[in-house]
Amino acid sequence: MRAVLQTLPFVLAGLLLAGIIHIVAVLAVPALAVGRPYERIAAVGPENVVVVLPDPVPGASVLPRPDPAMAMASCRFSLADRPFRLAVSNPSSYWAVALYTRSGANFYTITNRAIGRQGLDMRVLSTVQLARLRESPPADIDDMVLVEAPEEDVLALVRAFVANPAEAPLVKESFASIDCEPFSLPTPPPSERRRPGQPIPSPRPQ
Amino acid sequence: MSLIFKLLTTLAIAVVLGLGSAWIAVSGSRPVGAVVAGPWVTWPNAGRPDADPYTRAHLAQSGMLPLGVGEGLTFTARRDSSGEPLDGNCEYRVVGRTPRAVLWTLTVLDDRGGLATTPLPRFGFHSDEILRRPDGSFEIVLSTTAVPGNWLAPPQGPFQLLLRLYDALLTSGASLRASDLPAITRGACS
Repeated sequence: MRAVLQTLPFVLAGLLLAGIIHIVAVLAVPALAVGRPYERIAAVGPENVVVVLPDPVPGASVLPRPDPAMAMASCRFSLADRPFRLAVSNPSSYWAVALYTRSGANFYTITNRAIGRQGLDMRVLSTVQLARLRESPPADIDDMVLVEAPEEDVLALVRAFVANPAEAPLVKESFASIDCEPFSLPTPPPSERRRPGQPIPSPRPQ
Repeated sequence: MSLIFKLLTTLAIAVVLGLGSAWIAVSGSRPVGAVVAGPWVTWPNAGRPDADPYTRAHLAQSGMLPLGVGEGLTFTARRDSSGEPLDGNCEYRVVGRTPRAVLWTLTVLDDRGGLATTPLPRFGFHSDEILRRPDGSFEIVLSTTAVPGNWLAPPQGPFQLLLRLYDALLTSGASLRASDLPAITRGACS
């Protein structure tokens, strides 16, 4: 009995410590993981340009667990200075554009079922940039898909279905027409901003 | 028993328990945050920005870019329907149907997640090319000798099957039953 009472504090402390180690380990895995998708894609091509990922072959694939029925193109960019425009026009019968953070978390996906025949005109913006765009919306804002990014660094991935190997060159050709470029926010001239009575951007009581 | 010895033992057991349970929860046979349906395992929250820590850890150690939650679901099978690990020395039949999706692909990968070296440059089937039975279900045969129908050569050694549903109606997987997904039955082994 005395031995049990003497051991009990150690058992409880051990279990408590095991719980803490469990939680820390699970939370630490994403930070400790090597070969994150963002770095793997960064090794294939530079930032700010569309990189067509090479088709996976046995022993070599940019991303692990590839789907050989999907051709992929990616574009990495930073919203630190300017927002980005991503334009894709129907590479195949099924395609999707997915946006990821640097750590590989998906924050936006759109598939061609939700996109008209004219293709996708996506604008990826930071919170501040999106607010500025909304302040002075361009005329064609309704044709754009506006996406607010949670972080500055964005990885865009286009997946396009290749029904058979003969279609692959056509899909790749279509990838060449993907636009991934920064765009300028429409800024109203400063004089216009200071005009009295102007309700936009911030109405002032007279 | 000295106090230091007791403390060290407690510490060692705590480290083993803590790390061991974390490993089991992230990549073991009973992963937390995963939905299991027959031989298939999926992480339904993998495509969410607010995924739980276990799903995040699983994704990070797999190195995959998950399909977005509106884009589809990825199912992995490392075992057959009776729980035996998938082995390239055996024949398998993958029989059944998939949950509704615009498109699905089934891919054979080696156990490290790369495309498997097979005699033919065919690594799987997709829904537009597969031969179906009159009731809409399908049967894929993995065997070293070619058979008519949907045939794949299995890779050498342990392997895994990936079933991806693109533009799936199913998003959570919560109500998924084993019968909604193809069964994987083992045949003869060499």
